[in-house]
Amino acid sequence: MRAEAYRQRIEDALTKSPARYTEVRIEESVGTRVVFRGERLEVAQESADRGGFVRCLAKNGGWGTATFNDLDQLERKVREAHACAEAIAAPCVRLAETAPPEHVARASLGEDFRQVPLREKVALLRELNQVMLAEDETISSTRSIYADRVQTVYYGNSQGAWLVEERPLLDLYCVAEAVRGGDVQTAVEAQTLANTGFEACRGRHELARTAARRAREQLDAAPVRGGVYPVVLNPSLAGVFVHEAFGHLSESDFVFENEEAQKAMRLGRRFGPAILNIADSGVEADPDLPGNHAYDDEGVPMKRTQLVAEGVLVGRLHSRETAAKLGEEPTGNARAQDYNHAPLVRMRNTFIEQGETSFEDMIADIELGVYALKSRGGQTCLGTFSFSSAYAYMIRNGKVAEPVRDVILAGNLFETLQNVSAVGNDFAWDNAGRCGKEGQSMPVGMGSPHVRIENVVIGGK
Amino acid sequence: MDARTLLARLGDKDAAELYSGSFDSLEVRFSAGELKNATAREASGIAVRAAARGKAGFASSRDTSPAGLERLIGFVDNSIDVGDAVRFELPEPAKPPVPPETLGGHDPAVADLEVAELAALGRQAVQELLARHPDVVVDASVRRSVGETLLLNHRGVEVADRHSVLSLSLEVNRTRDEDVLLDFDHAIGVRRTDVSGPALVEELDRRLRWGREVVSLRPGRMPVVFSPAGSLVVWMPLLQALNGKNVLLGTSPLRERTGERVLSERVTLIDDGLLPWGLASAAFDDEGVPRQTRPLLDRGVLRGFVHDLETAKGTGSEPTGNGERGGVTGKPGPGFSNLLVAPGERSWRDLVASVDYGLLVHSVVGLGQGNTLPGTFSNPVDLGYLIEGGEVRGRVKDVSIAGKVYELLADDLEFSRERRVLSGTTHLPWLRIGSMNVVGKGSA
Repeated sequence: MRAEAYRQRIEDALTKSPARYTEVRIEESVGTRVVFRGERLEVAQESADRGGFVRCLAKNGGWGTATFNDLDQLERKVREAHACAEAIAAPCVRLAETAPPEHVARASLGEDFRQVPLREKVALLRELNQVMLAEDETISSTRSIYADRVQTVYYGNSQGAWLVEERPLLDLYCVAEAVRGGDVQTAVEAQTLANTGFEACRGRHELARTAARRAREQLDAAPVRGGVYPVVLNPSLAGVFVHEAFGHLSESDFVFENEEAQKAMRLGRRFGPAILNIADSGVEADPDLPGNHAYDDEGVPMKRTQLVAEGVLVGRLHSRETAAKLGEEPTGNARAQDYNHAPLVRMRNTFIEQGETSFEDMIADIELGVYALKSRGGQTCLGTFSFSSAYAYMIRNGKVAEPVRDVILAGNLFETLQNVSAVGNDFAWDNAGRCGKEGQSMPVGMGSPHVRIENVVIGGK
Repeated sequence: MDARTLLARLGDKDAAELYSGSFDSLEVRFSAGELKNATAREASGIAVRAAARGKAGFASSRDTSPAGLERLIGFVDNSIDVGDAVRFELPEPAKPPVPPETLGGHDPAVADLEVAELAALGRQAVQELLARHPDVVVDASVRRSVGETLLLNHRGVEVADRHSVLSLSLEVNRTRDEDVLLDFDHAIGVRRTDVSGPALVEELDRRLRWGREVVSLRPGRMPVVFSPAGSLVVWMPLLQALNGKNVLLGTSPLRERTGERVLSERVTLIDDGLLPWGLASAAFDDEGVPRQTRPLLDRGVLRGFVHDLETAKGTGSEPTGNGERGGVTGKPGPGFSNLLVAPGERSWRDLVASVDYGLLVHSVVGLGQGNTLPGTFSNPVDLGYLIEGGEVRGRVKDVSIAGKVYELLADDLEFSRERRVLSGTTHLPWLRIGSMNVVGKGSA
């Protein structure tokens, strides 16, 4: 019923809008957040959110936007957004054509976490937290987080689009902190799942145990010696690498107004060896992937976009605006965190495709190298990237050897992709999380097989 | 239902606190030198903390309709039901520590800015930068906002606050073949006069000139000069250690060292919640505790930590007026107000001139990434420059810096007499470290 009422209000507001183009997004969400730090329950918070977003294009001008919490103000906010757009005397923004969709996507959760009492969520997290604390005497502190949310998005635009989508998201983080002497080491094990019920959090003791064990192991690992090495990334870290180092450069809002960047990112350019294939997709078969949606936040259907085929750049990610500007097809990559934000060109699920090399073959001829696993965080400044591995081992004479820590890989994207020398036959969607851009945090999926890269700079002491 | 009615509805609790806020902002954005977007934002929300039967609860809502607030009361009860033992005692009303009018907070010249005026401020900066550097792509954002908050508790605390904020940020991108140079600078403050476009242009202009040529640097141990923004890589682990939360958790390497000399006597760090016209200045913190002006490090001697109600009680210390909420719906935690690092005597130009062969760091990749709490950091340099013969020679790529903060700030260091205000609250001088390890491609 609510959807019909909102549809009426949104369509009324769109009809009255004096703008050349208007879109309205109304969102409602409820969520839970539980946090333990050590033995302490720090947060057991339920929250509700409700708000709206209006974006207009005036006859001659750029975007005017209004965001608000009081939904009764919708019509006033449309006028305000239009006034903002009129105040912007800018070159005319054009939007790539797309058929206006009409689509309703309700979440189908196994055990709907909206019906699970807060008490049960706290009890479950307390148990995981205790598993970490009990695992080893070096574990001095923990941070455990359970978060769930269902965002219901109602979207309409003046070209006739109507979308309703429920976006459930479930996060579970286990962070263990191990202390010995003055040394503190942390390890994180986490899962971010879309379209999954509370059952995905049950029986996850192994997640907690792994976090505790890894933190402890880091105490025994020696800091890596800084230098240049052949590096093998495990699927989890390779997924973050492709997202950070490459994915961000293929977001067209980076290139669409920058001629030099367009040259660097020109289609047809060779980026890597022929074994390298990269894609971004919002329609992958695995339903838990957080980048999967039927439509993006401009009403463009999501699809699979090939970015690199056999080492050659063949595609990039678009909003309707960037697609029109570059004369390409929109790809369904305009995503907004929530009603406080306009959509930006964002990745969905980004991955390096399956290759042919087994892990054993990949490391067989490495005399001295680094096997880096899982990401502790990554960042890119366009050409330059950096990401740290959560844990790592030296590779000596073709064998995985002693553990090392403080491994931060850094480099230049263009050189690094050229230096990919092997792609594994063991693809995994092994990493899902949040990606930050211009103040918006979006759930994204990342995947890859093992990948070997030559001449990687590893920071060290 | 207004805030007081809602507080009255929580009268059956042993303790109750309500924090509500509303924000109103207007922002213009320039993309590739062109004005592209204007955004008006109106946001409101409310958070409740309460205790009953010895247990504490917390809940929030951005839906402030009557139905939304009824639901919020239910959330509070659910949270109390599962809550831990109460670990805070809400304060009683107190007298403002200084006459509130000395703190500033609201400048009508900011609050009343319209789209055209914001656009003019941004356009002037963008055009000046493009006039000097036609080969860069400039993005800019100018934003003014007014936030009003109200804090009420069952003991009679009633604190209303109103802050205006004006910010200007400029982002430049210079792409040449494979080389992407991305730089950013911003100014943010309470008053119209706190934000100067020309001053911001000067900063970016200087770095763009420094970075015109890419040069190579011989890795090894060398002096490193950090710009105020660059020095964050050194300050960040220290700030984590000074946060009462990490003292409470037993993870701060500085815990139990109050009164000891932990750093060079050149290092004095003040948390000043009462700085006139400071962005983080207010008579009271977000829990109703009077703010203070406190040295955390006084000539290298550790004087104290920043605490909120919970961490103060948990560590057996007094609340310091540092209870901060990350937005209206966030739970309070200890945070810094206005932070000031005491300046040195010489100009930053003299610090650069004193370096025969070394590195100037303006930004690193992955700031705060990894496990920095023990005081160690290791980061690739994002914007770094070679200093040779006392002069900046060009931009350096593919180098990393690593070190231990407690060693670097213990010995051979010097601060500049000039300071810059970062994020509106963090007043930092330039920093010269006598010798530290710089890793590069040539080091293997």
